[in-house]
Amino acid sequence: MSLLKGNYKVKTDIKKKKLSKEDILEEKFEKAASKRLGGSMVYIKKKKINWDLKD
Amino acid sequence: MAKVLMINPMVREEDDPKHVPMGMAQLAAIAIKKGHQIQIYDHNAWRADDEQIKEVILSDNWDLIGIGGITTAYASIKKIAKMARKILPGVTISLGGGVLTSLPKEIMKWLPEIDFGFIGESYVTFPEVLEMIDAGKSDWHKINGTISRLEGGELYFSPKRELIDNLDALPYPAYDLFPVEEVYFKNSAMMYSEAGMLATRRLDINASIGCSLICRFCYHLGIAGDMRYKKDAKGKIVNVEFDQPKNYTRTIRYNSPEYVVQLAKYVEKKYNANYLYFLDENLMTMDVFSRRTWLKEICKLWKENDLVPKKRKDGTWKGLYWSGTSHATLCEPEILKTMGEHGCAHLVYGYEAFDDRILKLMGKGSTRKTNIRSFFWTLEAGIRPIPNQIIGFPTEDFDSLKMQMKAWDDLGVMVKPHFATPYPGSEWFTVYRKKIEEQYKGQGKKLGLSDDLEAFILDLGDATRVSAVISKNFNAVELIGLREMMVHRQYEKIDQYEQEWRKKHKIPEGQPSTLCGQDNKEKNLEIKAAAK
Repeated sequence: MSLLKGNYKVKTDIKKKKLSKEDILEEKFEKAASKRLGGSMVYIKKKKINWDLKD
Repeated sequence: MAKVLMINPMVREEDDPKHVPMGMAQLAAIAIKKGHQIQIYDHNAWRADDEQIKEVILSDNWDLIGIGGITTAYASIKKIAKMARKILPGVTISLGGGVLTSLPKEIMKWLPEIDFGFIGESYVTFPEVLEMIDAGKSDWHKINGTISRLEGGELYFSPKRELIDNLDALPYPAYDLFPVEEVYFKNSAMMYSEAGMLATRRLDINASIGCSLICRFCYHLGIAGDMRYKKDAKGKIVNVEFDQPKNYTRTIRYNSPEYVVQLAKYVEKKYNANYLYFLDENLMTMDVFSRRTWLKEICKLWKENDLVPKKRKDGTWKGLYWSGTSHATLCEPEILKTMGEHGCAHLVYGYEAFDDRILKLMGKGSTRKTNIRSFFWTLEAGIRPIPNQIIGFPTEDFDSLKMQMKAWDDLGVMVKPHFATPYPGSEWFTVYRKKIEEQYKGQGKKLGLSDDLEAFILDLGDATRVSAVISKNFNAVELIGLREMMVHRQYEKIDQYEQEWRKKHKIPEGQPSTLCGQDNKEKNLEIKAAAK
């Protein structure tokens, strides 16, 4: 899927980066979970974690 | 011919992309008709990572990178403008849309990467800019409706760009240049009606521009005749102005019913669409201005062109369901009935509140009575009314909030109200600007921004969460708490809190629950003003 749409052909066609099956599943899960937030429903957004946190 | 990359920035990150940006789609169509080379990167739809945005920016030799969007897209616009300037230091970058028009001087100061901006309507300004590029020039200051940087960095407002008269002269929006199949159709569903929920191929149209009303929270950003140019003693343009107390200007424009229905037919045929959403500010304004002929004629032609939805056994339908925005006082049962019979599935009503005093001060042109009346008229017409609600009005008190809850109970309204938000371009923003800046004091420096106002703009969302508070009676924490209790109809808890609030503010039982002036002088004055 081209990220650019126009009335002529660009020099370099830029395709939407394909996500791995794991990434697609993670994205799908996080989107579904975020719609259910509240009460005991919480989830971890893995991409926002600061893995290098020392303290 | 000019080679242009148009970029639609991301808005409402927390939500799926649901609407093709109509202004950009129309401008692209105009430019293509004039023979220019246009590419669109719809960042709101694709939401690609930085690496891919970089690839997009480098994918061709652009004469112009044109970014455009609304104020709430400011964070995304800032990021993209900075990236584009870093990657292509010599490229011309422009900015248009409501974000620039509402605060042209501030935005040009905050975003030094932008070479020039489009103020107000760009249907004529944009092709003139492209013509100038073709001529090998960059005298943006010579084109009306722009703000640009003179040598030495001074900002320059060119003369005002007049609005076009004939909207039918516009080509159809260039839907093809947006990921309609890949992204937008997947997010077709609108949870406002049964038909909306089942919509699988929805597109939007805009059949009119403007609104006759003067709601204090609303903004039209120059396309509704609401913008005036401010000049100094020497006649030099120094800024733009919008609605101010006792100073309102309006221009009402709409497409002919023939144009509207031909566009609807085109969308149905070319894209196999099954739902059309009218993004118009207020369909009923147009109906009143046309002496009640506009919507009636659209419905008639809808039928003649075989667009009235016909249900199939499998639950799908042939034709187009549609919806839009109505107004409590301007609607009438007859036209609502006709609309319902011709596929109108839902109508959004900005009821906002059910306290006549608040409605009057808001400039809404409606009352509790017309709100309730239109609600039942719409239901009787077979259309779902969508009653938008707001809390946090400047002089709203506990009585107003309880009145609102009572109406929700009476009408069976399930709602989570928006917070009153002073968007740039609205009268509220003009009136409360100092109060807004005080609330963001120090935030600009803390976040590494130009000033505190920029921090407010970055914080602005779609009013589902609190940003700047303009209530004189409640702070942000109180508004969030009150909204939560209102949604769950916790009348007793609100009563309990009112007692605490009265003690804290030394307002005895029996006195109006307001902090507006000593002995409620301010409130009384407002009541008198509203009565007049």
